[in-house]
This record gives sequence, structure tokens and C-alpha cells, in this order.
Amino acid sequence: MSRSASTDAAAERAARPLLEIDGLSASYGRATVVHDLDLTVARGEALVLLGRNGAGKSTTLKSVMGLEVERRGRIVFDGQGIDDWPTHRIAAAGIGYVPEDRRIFAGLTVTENMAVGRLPPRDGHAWSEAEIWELFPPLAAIRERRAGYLSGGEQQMLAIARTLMGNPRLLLLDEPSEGLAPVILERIAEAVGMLKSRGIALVVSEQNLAFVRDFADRLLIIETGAKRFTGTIADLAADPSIAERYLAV
Amino acid sequence: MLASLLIQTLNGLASASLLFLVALGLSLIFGVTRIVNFAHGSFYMLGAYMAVSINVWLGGGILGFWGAVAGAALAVAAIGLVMELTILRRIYRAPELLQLVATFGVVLLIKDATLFIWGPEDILGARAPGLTGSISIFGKRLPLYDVFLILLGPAMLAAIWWLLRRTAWGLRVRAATEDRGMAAALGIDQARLFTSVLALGAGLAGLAGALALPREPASLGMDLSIIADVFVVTVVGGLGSIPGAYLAAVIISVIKAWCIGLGTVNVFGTVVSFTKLTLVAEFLVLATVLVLRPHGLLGSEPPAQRGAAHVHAPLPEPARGFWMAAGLGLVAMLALPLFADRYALVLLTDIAVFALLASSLAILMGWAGMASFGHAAYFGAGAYGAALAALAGAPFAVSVASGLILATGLAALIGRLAVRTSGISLAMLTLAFAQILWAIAFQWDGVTGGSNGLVGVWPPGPLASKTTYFLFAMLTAAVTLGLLWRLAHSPFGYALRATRDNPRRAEASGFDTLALRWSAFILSGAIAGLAGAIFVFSKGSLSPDVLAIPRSVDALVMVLLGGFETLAGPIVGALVFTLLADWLTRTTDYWQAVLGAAIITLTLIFPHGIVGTFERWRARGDRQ
Repeated sequence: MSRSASTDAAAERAARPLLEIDGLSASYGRATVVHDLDLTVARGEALVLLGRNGAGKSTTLKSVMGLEVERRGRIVFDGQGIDDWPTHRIAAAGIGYVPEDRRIFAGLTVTENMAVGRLPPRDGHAWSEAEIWELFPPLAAIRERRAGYLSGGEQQMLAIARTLMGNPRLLLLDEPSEGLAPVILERIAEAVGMLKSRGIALVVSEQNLAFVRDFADRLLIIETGAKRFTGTIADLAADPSIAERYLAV
Repeated sequence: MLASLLIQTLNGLASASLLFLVALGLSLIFGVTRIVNFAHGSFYMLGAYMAVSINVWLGGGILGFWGAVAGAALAVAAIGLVMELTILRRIYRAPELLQLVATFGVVLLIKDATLFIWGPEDILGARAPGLTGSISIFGKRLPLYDVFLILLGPAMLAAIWWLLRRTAWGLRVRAATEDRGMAAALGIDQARLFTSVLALGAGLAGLAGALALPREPASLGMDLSIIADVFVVTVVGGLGSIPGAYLAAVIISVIKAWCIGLGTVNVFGTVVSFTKLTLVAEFLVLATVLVLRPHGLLGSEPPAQRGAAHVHAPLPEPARGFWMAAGLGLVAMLALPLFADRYALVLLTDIAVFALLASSLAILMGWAGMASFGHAAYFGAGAYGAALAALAGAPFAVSVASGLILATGLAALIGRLAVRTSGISLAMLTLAFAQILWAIAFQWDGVTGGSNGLVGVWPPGPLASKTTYFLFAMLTAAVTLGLLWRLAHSPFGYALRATRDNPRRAEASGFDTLALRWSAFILSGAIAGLAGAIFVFSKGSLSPDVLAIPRSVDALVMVLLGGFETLAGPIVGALVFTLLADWLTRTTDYWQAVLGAAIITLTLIFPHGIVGTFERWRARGDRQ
């Protein structure tokens, strides 16, 4: 009886989206940056937030983490309301966050950075260092180097690797392509695609459509903190006026 | 000569170890929590007192001494833990100055608690059994206990290095020190980390206090005297750098030991007392390091603060009818003598003086974004300058001008060094300079009257009555504040605030930010000096207390009470604080503890000051 009730509950949880955001407003002091935003992310889905600088993409991701922003609205992750949780608890629940400016610990070595991100196994799996070296081979060679001496691309890899050590179910990537050389971009896009194929859901904030082309399931365009468009890459391509209005510089 | 220099060096190294232990705790706590814990000196003092009592309780001897050292460290660690859980935890997001002031509330509480438990007399501690002997070096004696302390410093440095580099806890501390927000986003529970760091830091200070006992008695002055030294060490070493703290502790302790060791020396026919030069030596070390390396010997530029906690609200334009209201208020104030008795008049004069002092500090903090934690230095310089001139026979106006000039000159000198730093380093630095000045006033019997101070400084005939002096003080304050308010909305005021909000961008826009900050510092010092000069003639006497840390903190509390985001804030703060302090001192012997508790409570309730908090509430009401 109780067993079937709990399987029912598990089945119900599995049927719900992994992340549901309902009526999110976020502000820094007196400036409100995100207005009444709704979005959902299904299990294993890759959602891409598109929009210009200052559109509210980063703030949306920070709101999910409860980091450095005042937020109102309902945020449900895996069936649990997390909007009043402290940041560390949100991370422990399985949301990994890779910030825009990477925020690697410059004084720590590559492996130390990764050790800081280590959390207990989830769903029977824990990322090992070996798996990380496989995903990002360049990191293996510089594992004892201080992270402050890493190149931009290496820092981006490290920032993702560090977050993976927490075995997230959902990965929030904030502008991973920013300021990186095309050859590095390709490698990181490939790695992100690989993470998606391993069942990790993604919310990627981006301005570079080419970077997300291979793994994006759905696009969501944000402008001045509100949702303007959702659809697939094909939908966006079908109506050039949308990209013209919200994405062109 | 050489042998005695060597002994003094070793002596200095022994002192350096204790200083380092306290600075180490302060640095660790600052690293992860970004809070400079003013109460760290109080932890050191408590460690000493507790060690005395625990030693007695354990029956003395080897067990008693070392049991007391361990017990005191643990007990003080527990107090640090309680402080984190009850106070600090609630103010991590508050502006950093408020945090400093809140921890100063703890200083007052602990001081009165210590007075209540152990009484006002100094208490001699036991010597360390087994280490009471001495060794001989070139015919000079060095106590074994000093040898133990000399070895302790590097040993603790190594132990902390191991803890930070080789343990999971240390890794989390280092990560949170670099970027606590990111550490939290990776699943690190900041609250637990902060609690443990507070306990460790407090425990180290308690340990140092207990270990200091064989060298100095437990006394109620230990807290502020060590904290000033620790601030110097932290700034010289580089904020957050642990090896830097050790290096700075060694340099400063050894130079002090040399000065004391040299004693009075006849240099080319002039008698120079090096003992009295220790303070000047400290000042010179501090000044030299800051000129050559503004971030300290081994420090680097501090990481920028993240989050929205430090955005300054724009200074509001005076509302319509503001000048009219201010004028009416002034007329009402000037009419007060008709209703007030002598006592009330003195109190009202105090309010006028402190409104000036608080406003002088508020311009520095609010407009220039620089928090002076030693504003008593300029207030005191104004008071001493005016008093010395008056006692030398100068007329009243010349005396007040002398005070003003001395304070302005001092602010120019200290400001020149201080504006090179910013934020918390600047706060610590200004406090250290003020403490050095206090010590000079306290020791220079021939000029300042030493601890007795100066007496018989009264205003001349027409101003001799309490009523006329009150009118003079109130008018001077009103005119000065009126000019300041005009200045707030002048190009100078705008440029200053631009410098505060984004120094790099202001510099790129063609502002000489250092010069702007320096002029703000000088202006602020001059007004504080004016306040001091008016103050001394209202009291008739002065003591080094006008320069002491508590006076600086009083000024800060006034500013924070009223808030520095508005022009009227500091005046409201001065009014509330002066009345509150007057009522408290008449009501209880333990007024410091009550004041401390009040400061803590107020900072928890009004994180933006009274006026600022009400304005925020009003703004919120407007939006809904």
C-alpha cells in the first residue's frame, strides 16, 4: 500500500518537468531586471535562453540558484519548492551553476577547484576525475596548475568540470561561449552535447546561436526581463523578423 | 651593544608571535566572512582573564598553567561561536561599516562583562612552570618562555598552512575566501563554515591572551591596545595574507623592542628618548609601507564585492521647502535657551558639536565612500590645538583657528596616506593612526599634560555664559552645515560621488580621483577639528579620551544611526545618540554594556540607519 503510494509519487514526480518557474521577478536593489517570467525544463531537455546583453538571462539563472539577487515567484525543482532555499542547498539538490565570468578559484589548482565542487553521488553515479579528463582532455595536462594561470578556454572547461563534480541533474550554463576562440567553442559545444546525451538537463544562456545549434531542444527569447518567443531553432528560422527584433545588435 | 640589540630582537620576536596569533584569527575571519571583527582584541583580553581563573580553579602548577591555556582558548572559541550565531549571521549582507560597528558593540559588552566578573584591577598571571628559567646569550639573559614564544609563531604559521592546504575544511575556507557566493553555488554551506572559522579565530585570540599572561597582567585596556596593533599588522602585512601578517608582526614588534631597548641615548649632545619614539616608529613603518605598497607587504588588491548590498542611493536634492524648514528648525533651536536649564544647555551644546562631528564623518563616508575609523584624531587635534593656544594666551578666535589648522594639517598628512587605500583597509588604517595620536597625547606630559590632560580652557567674557556659548555653537554648526549642504550639490559633490561609485570610470572621465578623495578627507578633518575646538571651550578641559577609539566609534554610531545617505541623517544620529548616552550614564554603572547592546540591536533593526531605513520604507510604500 504505502509502497505503491510512494511509487505513485515517484511516477508523478517523474512526469512533471524537472524545473518549473512561475511568475519570477528578480531585482538588484531598486532595479527590477526580470518581470513575471514563466518557464519549464523537462528532464533531459536543453533549453536555450537567448537575448541581448542586459536582457535578464543571467539574472534568471542566478535567481534559480538564489545567488546575489532578490527574487519573488515560485521555483520548483524535481517536485520541491526551492525558491526560499539557501544557495548551497539548491546546489546539493542537483542544480549545477556555471557563471558567466566563470568565477574559478584563481588561487587553487585545477584539481583543488574540482574538489571544492565535489558532492555525494546522485542516482548512483559520481563524476570521477578520470571521466572529467575524458570530457576535457586539455585539463588533464594542467591539473596541478593554479587556475589563475589558465587561459579563458581552460577556465571555462574547469568551471564546467568543477560543477559536474557535484553530479547535477540540471546544469545552468551562463554564456559559455563568451570571449572564446572558435576552436575552443567547438570543443565546449561538443562537451555540452555529450552531457546532454548523458541525461543532464540544460539551461544555457547564449547570444551565439551557432554555439547551441547542435544541442538546443527549445529556444526562449528574453527581452527586458520578459519572455518574447519560445520555439525550436526551426521555428526561429521560419520567421526572420523575430531574430531581427530581439537578437540583432 | 650588539648583544643587547640581539636580545631585544629576540624579545621582539617573542612579542611578534602573540601579535601574529591574534592577527591570524582576524585574517581568517575576515577572509571568509569579509567582516573585520573589532571584538578580536576583546577575545584576546578574555583569554587572559579566563586563563587566570582556570589556573586558580585547577590548582596551579604545570597542569593548571597549560590546562588554563587550553581551557581559555576553548572557552573563547565558544564565545566566538555564540557571537557568530547570534549577531554576525544576521549582518553578513549589511554594509561593511555597520558590521564593524556591530562588532564594536560586542567590544563594549565584553568590556563591562569583564569589569563585572573580574573587577577593575589588573590581575597578575602565573609564570609558566618549567619555563621560568633563562638562557644566556653573549652574557645577556633571555627568558626560556620567550624562546618558547619565538618558536610558537613559525609553528603556528606551519600548522595553519597545513590546515588550509591539506584538509578538506581548509580547501573550503580558501574557496570561500576567494568567492563565497560561488562556493555556495557549489554546495558549500557558508553558515557552517563561517561558524567554524569564527570559533577557530576567536580561539586563537584567546590562546594568545592566555599565553601573554606570563609577560603582562590581565587588564581592561588589553582589548583596544592589541586591536590597534593588530590592525596595523594586518594592513602592513596585506589584508588576508597570513605570511604577510607574520612578517608584519615581526617587523613591528622588533622595531618596537629596539626602541625600548635603546632607551634614552645621547646623540651628538642631544638626549633622545627612543622609548617614546616607539609610536613614531610604528607610524613611520605604516606610512612607508603604504607609500611603497598600498595593499600591504604581501597583499594584493582585494577582490571586488559582489551583490547589490553596496549600491549607494543617490543623495536626494533638498526637498521643496527644505531650506525654509531648516531655517525654522534653527530658529526653534535658538529659542531653546528660553526654556532650558543649565544642564540642558550643556547637553544642547554637545548636540551641536556632535552634529558637526557626525556630519564631517558622513561626508567622508557618504560622499567619498571612505570610512574613517579614527575620526576622533581630528576632533581631538582641534580640541588640543585650541586648548594649547588658549592656554598660551591667544584670543578665542585665534585659539579656535589654531585647532582648525592643526586638525586640517593632520588630516592632510594622514589623508595623503589613507586615500591610497580603500574600504576596510582604510578603516583600519585611520583607526591605527588615531590610536598612535592618542598614545602620543597620553605620553607627552610636557605638552599635552599626559593622562591628566589640560584644564582651564574657558571662552572669553561674552561667550562665558552657557546660553551665549550654546547660541555660538548652534549658529556655527548651522552655518557650517548649510555650506556643506550647498557643497553636496555642487560639481565637487557630484565628482566625489562619482569617484565613490566607480573610481576607475571617474578617472577615465578625467577626474583626479586621488586628489578628490584627499580634499574630501581634508575637508572632513577640518570640520571635525572645528567641532573639537568648540567642544573644548564648552567643557573647559580635555583629556586624551577625546582622541581615543571609543570617541571615534561614537561618531560612527551617530552617522550609522542617522544614516549617511541623507543630509539630515547625521544630525538625527547625533541627537539620538547624545540623549541616549547622557541618559544611560546617569542611569547605570554598566552603561557601556547597555550602549553596546543598544548598538547591536539598532544595527540589526536598522541596517541602513534610522533615516535611511524610514526612507526605504517610504519608497517601498510608494511603489505599492
